[in-house]
Amino acid sequence: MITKPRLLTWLGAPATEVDFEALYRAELPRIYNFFRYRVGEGQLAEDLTSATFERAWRKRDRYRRDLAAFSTWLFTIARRVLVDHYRQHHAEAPLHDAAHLTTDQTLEDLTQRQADFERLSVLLAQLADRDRELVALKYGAGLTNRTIAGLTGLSESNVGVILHRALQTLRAKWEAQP
Amino acid sequence: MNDDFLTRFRKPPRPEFAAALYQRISKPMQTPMKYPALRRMALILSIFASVPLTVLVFPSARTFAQGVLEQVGGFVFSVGPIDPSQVPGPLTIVRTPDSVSIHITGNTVSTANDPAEAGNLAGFTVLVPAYLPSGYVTGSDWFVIAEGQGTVVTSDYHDAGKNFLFINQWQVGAGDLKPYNREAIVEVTVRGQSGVWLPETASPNGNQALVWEENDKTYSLISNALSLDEMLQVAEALGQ
Repeated sequence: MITKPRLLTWLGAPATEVDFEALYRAELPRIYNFFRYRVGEGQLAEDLTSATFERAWRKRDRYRRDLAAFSTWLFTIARRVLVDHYRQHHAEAPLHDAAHLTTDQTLEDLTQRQADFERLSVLLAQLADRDRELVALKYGAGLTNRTIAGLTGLSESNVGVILHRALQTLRAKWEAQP
Repeated sequence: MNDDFLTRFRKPPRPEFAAALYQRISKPMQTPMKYPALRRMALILSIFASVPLTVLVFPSARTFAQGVLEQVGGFVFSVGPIDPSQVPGPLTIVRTPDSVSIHITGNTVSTANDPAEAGNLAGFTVLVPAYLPSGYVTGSDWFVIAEGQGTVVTSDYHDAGKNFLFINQWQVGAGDLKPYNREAIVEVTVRGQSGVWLPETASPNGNQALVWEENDKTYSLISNALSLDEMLQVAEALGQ
């Protein structure tokens, strides 16, 4: 018979047993930047980050170490949090999120770095949703193509191709704007 | 523009945000774990455990069943105690005031987000109730459990209180007959099929169940509160 401790491992050890605090410190910046690259700067990125960790904690018993790295599991939750957000806020589709942002509005008030990110957010919002997600996972969260492939169901080579094309598109648009 | 250009916009979250979020989620981390998932799992799977639990908790019950009253699908119902060696149930739930222990013998559990995913995992079409009793809502997960040589899909429903309803859909494997001991067994007709109604008994689980076989599947509805009529309404409303 399998007793409770074994059952916990078998069903998926709760994150308390894998040092949740250390995981939190390691994963928080990645999740946060994933959302920044998906929805732009601001309160929404923090709200979605919070929702991800809160949901992860509630579902910690479902995390199975034999199936996925913790970060992969966490990003699976993050992606669902974002989908849920868009379902609940139809008016805030990804493109619309950044549609109000213009470089003209922000350049005078923000630092150059902030202005550049706002400008990048505008360009990211013009990408196809799938492409923007891959860019956010790659360049916001710093995931490898292999991990992204595992998360999205795309092949690793497809991820590389899509990212390459997205980068080319961003580069062309960035350079087209003075 | 290159990779560096895109990655240089990363920035750490605000420290006050990071601290506040950690404090918020760490509060439950620091409280004694109440095993909500385990408790739910225990309830969900209680139908598989009630007999072995009875047998294990009450050694005096360890005599062989005197007579089989009814067989419905994978369940064999009898009045009177059952020999534990005849109980193939994979799960035993032991509750104390402070804990819930589940003993498992070699089964695997998967979770699915919806009936379609559960059906894909189980390998058969999973039915969904078009009707639920007033106040009841669908739980968050579908559990697909390897049960002997077969597979069980379990879904949970609950009201705002602590009342629950579980719907188990069991593809019975060869030789997976499961003996059940209840104090009273009522023969009923469910969806045009012969079935049994198991009123609440003084068993440790204290639940009531409606069981029938249909299209080579054994269906069981288990609740702590619903009446036979309410269970029948749910059963009749099951569909794809």
